[in-house]
Amino acid sequence: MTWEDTKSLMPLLGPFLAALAILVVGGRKERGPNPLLPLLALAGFGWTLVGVGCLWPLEGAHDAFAGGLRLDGLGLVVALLVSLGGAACTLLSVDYLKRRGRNLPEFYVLVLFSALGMMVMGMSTNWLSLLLGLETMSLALYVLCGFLRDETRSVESSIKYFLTGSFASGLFLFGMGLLYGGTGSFEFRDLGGAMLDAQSQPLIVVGVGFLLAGFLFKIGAAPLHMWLPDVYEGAPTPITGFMATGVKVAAFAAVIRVLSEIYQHEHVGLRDVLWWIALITMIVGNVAALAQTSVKRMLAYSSIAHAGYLTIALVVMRGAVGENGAIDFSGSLAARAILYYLLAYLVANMGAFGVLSYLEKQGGKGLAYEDLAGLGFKHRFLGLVLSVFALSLAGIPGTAGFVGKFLVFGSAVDAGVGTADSSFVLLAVLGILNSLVGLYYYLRVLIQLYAKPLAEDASTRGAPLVGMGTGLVIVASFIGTLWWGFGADFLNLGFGVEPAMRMMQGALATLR
Amino acid sequence: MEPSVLVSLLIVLGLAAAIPVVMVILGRAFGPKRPTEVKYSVYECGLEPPVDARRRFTVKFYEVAVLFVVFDVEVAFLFPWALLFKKSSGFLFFGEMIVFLGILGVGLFYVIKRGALEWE
Repeated sequence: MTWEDTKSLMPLLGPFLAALAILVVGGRKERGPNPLLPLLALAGFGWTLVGVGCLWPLEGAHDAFAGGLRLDGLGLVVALLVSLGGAACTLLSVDYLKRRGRNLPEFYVLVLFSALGMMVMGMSTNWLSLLLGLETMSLALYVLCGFLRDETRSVESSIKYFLTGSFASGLFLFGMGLLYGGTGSFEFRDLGGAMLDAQSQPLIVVGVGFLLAGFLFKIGAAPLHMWLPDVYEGAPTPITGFMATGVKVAAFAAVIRVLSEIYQHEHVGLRDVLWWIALITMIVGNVAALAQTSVKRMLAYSSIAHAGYLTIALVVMRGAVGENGAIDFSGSLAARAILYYLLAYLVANMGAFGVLSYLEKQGGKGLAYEDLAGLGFKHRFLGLVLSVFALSLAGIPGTAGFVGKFLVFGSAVDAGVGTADSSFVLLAVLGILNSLVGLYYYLRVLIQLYAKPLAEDASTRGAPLVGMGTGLVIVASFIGTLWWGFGADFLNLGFGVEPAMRMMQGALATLR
Repeated sequence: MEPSVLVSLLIVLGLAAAIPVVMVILGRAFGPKRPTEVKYSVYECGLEPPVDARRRFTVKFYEVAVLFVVFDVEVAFLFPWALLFKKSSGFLFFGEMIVFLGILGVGLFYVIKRGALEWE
């Protein structure tokens, strides 16, 4: 470690110090809600946002801690997205936990630590720091899932996530071990070169397979998605939103880093594997979401489908051959599309889970489709924003979700057109057909909101007033969803789609 | 590895397996047998087990166990640090461990404040 290395800790220090501060301030025997604690957590995430803002136009990248962490554009974008998600989760949790009578300091500490783990994952350039980030994130999330410990489903969610998640970590570690055997190094960047070596190739292929299984588990891609619906449904609603978005951001950033090394040599056939995984994941997520009766569970399955769409972009990720013959992925449209899609998914999903956390009643009830009946007339604003979030997740033009989907499918078509291989274009077409299937269950939300009569006991639904934190998250997500869905460009406001895309390109400029 | 090393390893393994077997057989064959009721009862730290072991324990035992592991692992990091200290770059090396211990100190502070170390 050198003094230079501490610079790369800047974005990470916020959540970390805030977590320690909450432990010191909140560690008391009498367990009452303390309004200072969520503010401390928000200050932690604010620190990261400011840190990212100060460091942003990065000239070059800085490898810190003997190559364990890499302070580059991608790491900063991950820190940005994760801290936005974490701040939203904190704001939602204040109201949610108050209503559930579980407003305890440990909740915020765990949210901060899981966000810290996600950031480390996004900044890691060797297997050890990747595992460190992954475990920090996962262990905190296991506990958070079971935070409503008096509710059976929350505990079930925690146990299921813990058991299956530890198994996935085991796969991950085994893959790491094999790769270390094959390459003699923990660095991602030694992976590409070692693949050409015929002697170590079998070890590396099997190792990458195990690692891939670990990653696919974390992002909830089929066939490793079985845990996801139960876990997402049972977890506290703000945590479900954070899990769905934050874990995806961290895992996809790490996958982009690893794949940018593996794709240096095309003979591995990994694209074919990912091709099928993308297809199966989309189909499983969308078809299963059709049959759900609970909106929260539907969003869980839709999260699987979104992982499938994002995997399309992983399949078609291509770079240009730079100087010294290495492939440079900084201009890759697919990688940029992933980051933009994650941003769009983050705002729409946090907003949707924000509305759900407001509607949810004791014991996790009140989230069936029927409970939304006629709500669009009773709570006009809530109905409007929930419709916009659903439309964004479905990918209707005018919302950020559309731009994300357009970029992902566009990058697949772009990679396929002009080549003899039609599989990329076929995958894009299959993706579009899948999002048509997805339209059905998102529009069901709108039908319940606006085309059904108000349910009998609607007067007792939810609290009379949306809490300040929840309201803030919902409004911010609403604006963000329209803002990055060409709204900002349309009204000629700053930082619309084009600048966001430029930012994502800047994020990838120093990838390798 | 040399084959001769493997052979000597096998001999050691064979001896290690044979000695306890032979001792048990010798004890069976020549030892005096004068059984009493006390000799055949279950031995557990001198006391008879009052209840079945498969029951719910108070969570305090787990708390203490977890805390022990946390602070035990901390020491595992201290030893290599102490060994490398002379060869180190000095202040920064020292500072790293101080930061690490500081984090654990915050943990300990939290544990004490929360009352996890009080039994009653």
